[in-house]
Amino acid sequence: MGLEMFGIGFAYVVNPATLFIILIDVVVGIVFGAIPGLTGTMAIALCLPLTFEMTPVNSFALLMGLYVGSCSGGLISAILLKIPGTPSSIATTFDGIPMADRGEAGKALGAGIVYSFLGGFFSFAVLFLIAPPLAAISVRFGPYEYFAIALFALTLISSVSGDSALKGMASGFVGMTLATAGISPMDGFPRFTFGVIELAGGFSLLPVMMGLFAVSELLRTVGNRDDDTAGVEVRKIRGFGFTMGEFWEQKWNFVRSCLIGTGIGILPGLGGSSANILAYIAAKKCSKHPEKFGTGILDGIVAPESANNAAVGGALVPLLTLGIPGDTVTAMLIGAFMVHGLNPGPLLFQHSGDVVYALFASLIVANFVMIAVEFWGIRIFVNLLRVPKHVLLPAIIVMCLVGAFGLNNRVFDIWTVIAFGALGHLMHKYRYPLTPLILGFILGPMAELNLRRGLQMAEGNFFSFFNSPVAAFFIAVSLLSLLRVLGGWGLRMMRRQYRGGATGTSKEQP
Amino acid sequence: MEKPDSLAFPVGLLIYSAILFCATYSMRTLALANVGPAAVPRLLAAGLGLVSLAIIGNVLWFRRKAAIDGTPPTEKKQEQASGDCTAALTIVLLAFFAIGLEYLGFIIAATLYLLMQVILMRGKASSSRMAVWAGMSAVAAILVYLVFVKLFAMSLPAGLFG
Repeated sequence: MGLEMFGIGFAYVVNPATLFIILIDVVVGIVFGAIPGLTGTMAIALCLPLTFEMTPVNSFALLMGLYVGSCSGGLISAILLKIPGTPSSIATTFDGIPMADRGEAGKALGAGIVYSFLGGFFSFAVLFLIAPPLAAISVRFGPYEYFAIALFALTLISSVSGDSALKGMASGFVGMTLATAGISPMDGFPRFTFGVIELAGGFSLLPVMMGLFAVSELLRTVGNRDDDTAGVEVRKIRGFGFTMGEFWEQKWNFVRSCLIGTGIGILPGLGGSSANILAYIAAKKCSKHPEKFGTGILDGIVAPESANNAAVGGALVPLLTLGIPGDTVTAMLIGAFMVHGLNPGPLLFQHSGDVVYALFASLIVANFVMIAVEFWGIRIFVNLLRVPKHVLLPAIIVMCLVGAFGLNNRVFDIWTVIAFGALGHLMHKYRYPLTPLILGFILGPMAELNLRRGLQMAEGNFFSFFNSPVAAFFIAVSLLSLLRVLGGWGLRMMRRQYRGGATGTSKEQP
Repeated sequence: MEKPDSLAFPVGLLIYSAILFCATYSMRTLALANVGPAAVPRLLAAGLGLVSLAIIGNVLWFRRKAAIDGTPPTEKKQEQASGDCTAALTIVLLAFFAIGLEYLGFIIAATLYLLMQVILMRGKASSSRMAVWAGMSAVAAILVYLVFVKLFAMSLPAGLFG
């Protein structure tokens, strides 16, 4: 039945008009993903009205093209401009930037493109084969489970803290405190607004990210006039820039990252922005050489890029099977379904199976178009590295500021970019890692909201969280992880005291 | 020997956490709420304060050890001061862009910002080169405006052109 419907779906999609729509929209999606400040959500919001007059199949072909394109486009700016084009490619910068600095931008881009493609395919397989049972499990997750998962993810901050767990914790706390500004969840009271009306909505993630990555990079570069040309020698690229041996080495990293990406995509409210960071952390934890992460290795590109594209199909699982959006893009897709008189949910497969399978087919075709467009474009994209920084960086900053302004049409978001740029610069100067801040900023609100919901359900009894096996498991693992970090830190301190006492020297930093 | 960490940043964090902690007491809360809107921010502010204190303690310990060892840290103070000054000037330029956007409009504000930023990054140059930079800045600003406004249907302040 499934394969037959799938064949029908493919027959709908494989015609010149629909293929052309997919091609154009994958390119538009890549552009939106690659330009800092423009996101897939914005691309879909902008193009949604175009679908009103189209057939349902062409509408979803257009939207899937945009979705896939924007998810993979972020890696271009993450590697070449040192700024994640979208929150989904934050972790790609960690190893993408050092690789680009070594002249291996083509290899990093090639790996990112291939694993984005494979990640998308993996998530499609999940969507096609095990969507309904997975969705049935995820819908049982409530505040206890969500809080426990967020708590667990927050304890992983130590893995992205570089050489100082304390600084990583401080950075994570800063991120979480900044995320509490604005209207409180559940009861809607203003917090930390200090009389600024615009702060009632809190800080948006995009301006925060642009400030921390783009403006802080500019501030680092302006102080160093010798570092002006993009004098990085770009090595000639063959194929996708990496060997079959390197490709084969990444198989487990790829599978693990895809599972994380798909799993997180299925959980409503998380999405690609968390998936890429968590997949990176997992890859580092499971690696035989974790110390090499951040120095420019393929593992650090494969994990986030597989995960963020795997999250695409994952996010479609609850949308199609239960009518629950997994992220902002799928929330907008619900609108597209409704425009065409379709109701996402368990009955969608029965009543409009042809459209659903045409959507699956569009997803596959869009993935093929994405890899073809980016493979062709890779040799053009790397030329960006040849543009002198005094020309490139200010132009990027202007685009970031415009993108930030365009989010809510207010200058406040530009001030947010500037303020977070200054904060990012200071943190870099004093060697505080930025990743925990981002992680805290994204996961903090989720943890708080679900903690409060859970406590409300349990009438203030936190031990009720342990009634859920999933929540109990994650809370226990989080506590163990925290104890391990604190224990490790305590041991290092004791060893340092001992060594300091014995030799009078120590090189370890706080 | 490595340069010990500065105290400025953790002290700044401690002050920030203290301000947040105090501010949580001015938050309104529902009488029936098990965990009010202030609870989590207060917990986070306290956590940040504790971590900041631990970092400060660490830095002080490290400094004391360095003093006992008698190996003064090597610092490139002059170079660092120049870099800090340029970074501060860049922030001022960005602030002017944000203010100018509302009053002058995007094209003028962006042209001025781009020109000043390039001058700041490249230093003084001949008048012909300055003219080239000015032209490039204006073209870039107009291009960005056209792309975002005409292609992506975003609205940007027109300012004096409005």
